[in-house]
Amino acid sequence: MKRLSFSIILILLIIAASNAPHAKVTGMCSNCHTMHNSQGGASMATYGGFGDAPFSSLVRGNCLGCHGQASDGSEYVTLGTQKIPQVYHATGGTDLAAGNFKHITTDDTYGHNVDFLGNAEGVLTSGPPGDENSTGITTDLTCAGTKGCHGDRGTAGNFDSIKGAHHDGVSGLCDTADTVANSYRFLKGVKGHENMDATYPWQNKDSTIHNEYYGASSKGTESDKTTAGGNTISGLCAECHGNFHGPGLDDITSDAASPWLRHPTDIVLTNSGEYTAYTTYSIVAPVARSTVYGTINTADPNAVVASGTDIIMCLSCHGAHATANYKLMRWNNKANMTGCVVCHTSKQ
Amino acid sequence: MSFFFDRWLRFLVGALVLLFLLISVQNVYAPPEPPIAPTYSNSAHGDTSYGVKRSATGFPTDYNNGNCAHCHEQHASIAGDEPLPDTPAGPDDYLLFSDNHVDQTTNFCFDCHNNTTTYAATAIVNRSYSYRAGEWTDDTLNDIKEAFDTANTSYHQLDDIVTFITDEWGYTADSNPCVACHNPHTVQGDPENASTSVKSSATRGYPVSRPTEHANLSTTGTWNIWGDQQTGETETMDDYTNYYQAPYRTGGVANGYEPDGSTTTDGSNLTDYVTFCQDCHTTDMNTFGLTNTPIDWTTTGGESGGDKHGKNVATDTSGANINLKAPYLAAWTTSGLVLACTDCHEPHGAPNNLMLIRAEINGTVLEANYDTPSSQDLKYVCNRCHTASTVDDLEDIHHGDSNAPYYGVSSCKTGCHADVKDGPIDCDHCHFHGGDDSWITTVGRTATGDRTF
Repeated sequence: MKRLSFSIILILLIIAASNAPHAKVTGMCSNCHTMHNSQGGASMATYGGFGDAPFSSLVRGNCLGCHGQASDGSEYVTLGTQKIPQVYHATGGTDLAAGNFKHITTDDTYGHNVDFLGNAEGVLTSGPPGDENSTGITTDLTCAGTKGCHGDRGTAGNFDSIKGAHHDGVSGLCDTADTVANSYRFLKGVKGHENMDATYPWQNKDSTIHNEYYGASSKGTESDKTTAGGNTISGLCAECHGNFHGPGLDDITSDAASPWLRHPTDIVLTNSGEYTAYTTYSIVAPVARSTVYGTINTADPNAVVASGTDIIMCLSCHGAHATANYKLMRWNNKANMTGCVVCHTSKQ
Repeated sequence: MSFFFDRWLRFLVGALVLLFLLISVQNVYAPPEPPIAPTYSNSAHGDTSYGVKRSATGFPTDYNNGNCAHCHEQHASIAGDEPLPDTPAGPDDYLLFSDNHVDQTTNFCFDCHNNTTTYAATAIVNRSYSYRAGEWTDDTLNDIKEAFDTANTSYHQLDDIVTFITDEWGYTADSNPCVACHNPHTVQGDPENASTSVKSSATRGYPVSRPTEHANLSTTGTWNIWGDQQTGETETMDDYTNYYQAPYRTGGVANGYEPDGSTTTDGSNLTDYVTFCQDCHTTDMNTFGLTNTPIDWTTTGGESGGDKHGKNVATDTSGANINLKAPYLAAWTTSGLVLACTDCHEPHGAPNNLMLIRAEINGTVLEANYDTPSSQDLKYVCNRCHTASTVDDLEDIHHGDSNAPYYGVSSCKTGCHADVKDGPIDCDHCHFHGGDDSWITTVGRTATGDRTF
């Protein structure tokens, strides 16, 4: 009887473990790859229906094909035993931490118009605002590579720049960030701690269950075209939007400190005045950390915000992919100041 | 049974009537409810129905009133371009959409407070204190930029304000001088959302915040508006002194009293502007050309005290002897009276008068401008509350009345009046903040040592 119980528990644990989300892909090769893009004469690389098969690396869909398989679906798709985060899915439900590219179908200004969407940027036709690194990006934004965010931004192309990362991917704590695979969300050079909660992975669900972002103080380190300054998430943004981050003259300030010229990022939340009232982590206006916490999804420290230590970042206000709001804002900034007052507590 | 029931019923009805009367009487005599606690969302800038709204090329038209973005550009860029104004190009301090402060005529606040729609969706009108509190609706001055204009006879010097507040109370050299007196995130219109109207008790708002309390921003995170008299606060003139008498509004007693036209005269409806102004003006400001500073509005002690228009009390024993007019004459007691700064001064600028003197005081427009220093023009100001219009009046005050300071003095032409052929002498020889009559020693006479302001 004891043996039977032990066996049942072991099996359950194995099942649970196999269903746990991982950045490192597991399961049957054919879940993701097709050798000839042909099965009985029919195409096999049809995931999501985006782009023209066959695809590089013999995969069965391009980036959006796998991560946006059902435009009217949910934020997760399960393939074999693997839960796959969906970044393009039905609106009105739960969006993952970076948002939902589907919102771009409502308005171009709601997100980053990556090329796989087939909905080219129609507003920012001259390139990323604040592009002090002359990225050369115009309306040809991609998911990864030199014109994208993920993968190695020194390598051109979605597939080449991220190649191998799905097989070697580090899940959860990413505090090394010297390869694509061991970087936060395959954003090369970016440190963080990925929320791999069994039920709510990749989400910023609430004050406890959420990603942990790494930030820097004192305006961070200037980014270049392919290097995220200071290994921070804001540093990654600054590769294309450099004027909005960093210590450069007339970036966020003209000298050492306040008055700011632009909203600060990679700056420690001031430990005085109204900012001290921001004490519980808000997923409306989240903060980055000065050290990447080894723990995740716990009340302490993950649900706690400490002014004087925690850090303002680009993602404090913006979603990375697309949101339901103008300029990828986390809240409807045209209608209200819900997010502003999370930090600016005296401006209620 | 019926007997007891009837008695019980009568008792119950009687008790209820008594309770009703008690509650009614209590309500009648209960102190008025304090104003709603100030927040950004109920401020003049933050109100979602009439708050700040910017209208400029490159700026979205559908941001709600009161939104931060109307004043603050998070990145100095929207859709890749800087919205207007963009000259000079690039970001500005405090994320403002234009330069924070340049000089007396170029200031971020003036970009909207100039009665134009260049950057404001609605032309912003702001009236003088004489208009709003004094009901002098003939005043044509209608915006803040105009009030500070260098063409005016006097105006608060914005650059001097920056110099003065730098490194005080949390201000820096980058601070906007308007922010010395106004918290832009809590400031309220007074009257509220009725900028072309005069104040009324139903439309009160509170526009100022004490400079000294600006320091609280870095500690408590708040910088309260001043004058709203929340529970436990002492921010009105009746808190400063028991001897305040509100001046008339234009038209006299029939139009009520400043600041809101009500019958309230004890200052309980007037911001304690003395305490507010004295945050700065108790300091020696001679370096800024303000030779009558520091102003002492608090020290008592008669002729050795501070200004008699302040808490200090005249040593005369009768109001008639200082030739007061209504409504002060009837209100005067031997305890004296105290004026609020705004009873005589405009806060921003005075187009036609020196020293920010209001064009209308105590219900009437000055007979003529007080625009010439070292003259007798000050009488146009004094005679709004004192009988001092004519040469005879002035002679009575100084020489004719039985207890006049220079009663019966002879040989005028060889003394004080030598240079003016026996005519009136300049008022400001003696009458200014902190003044006494020591000037007459310069013409060979003996001073009384009396305080003369």
